[in-house]
Amino acid sequence: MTTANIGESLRFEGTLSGLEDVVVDGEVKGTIRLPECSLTVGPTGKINGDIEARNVTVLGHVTGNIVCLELMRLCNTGSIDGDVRAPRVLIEDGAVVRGRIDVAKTPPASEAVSQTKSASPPTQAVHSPDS
Amino acid sequence: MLTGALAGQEDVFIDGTLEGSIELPESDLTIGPNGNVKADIKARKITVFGRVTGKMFPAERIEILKTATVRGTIKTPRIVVEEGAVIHGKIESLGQDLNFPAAKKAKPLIIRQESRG
Repeated sequence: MTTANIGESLRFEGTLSGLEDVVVDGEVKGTIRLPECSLTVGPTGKINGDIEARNVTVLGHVTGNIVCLELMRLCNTGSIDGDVRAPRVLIEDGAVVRGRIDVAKTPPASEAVSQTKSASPPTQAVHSPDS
Repeated sequence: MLTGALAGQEDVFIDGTLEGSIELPESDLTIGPNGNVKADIKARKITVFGRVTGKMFPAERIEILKTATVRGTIKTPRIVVEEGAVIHGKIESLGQDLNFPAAKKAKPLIIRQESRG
């Protein structure tokens, strides 16, 4: 699978979707939908909007809700302002988090992303009875 | 099983059940793999291998290991979450150290399943 790169000097506004991995080193304002691919927000990357992706790795800044289908990795330089839902979550020492984290199996919930845009967190939908 | 308020100035390891509140502002709390704690927790550092439900306020950091299940609210300068840990709750982490004086290390108080309060 190929990887697309939004370079450091690029700014994108709108909806980004597709079938290849994406690395964002620039700025994205809008929704990112990569339900079958990985999104990496590089150390200089900035996302303002909701994200749905198979894997999400954050080294930069994300403001928005994240629905991740596999692994959400927040590295030590990364920050998230928003809610995260993912079956597996890894947070490195030094990372900044402000929001809800729900570790739960996520269905390919494209609806969840579009609905949460208006503020309410996507947290009621799935709660695994894990006790 | 312990019910009530636990407070003090030494490190505590809980590998049993505790319900109530924990206040160890200058000490470290470890919740072992068999630990099951329902409490609001204030401690210098919180390390979780087991289960915790409640509000957690570590003064320095919280480490949530892959065997852990955590429900509740966490407000912390620093956080580490291992892949595999289960979390349901609100997290507020600044990613920075606040400057607290280093606490002296003492032998931790150990609370196990068979302990009686």
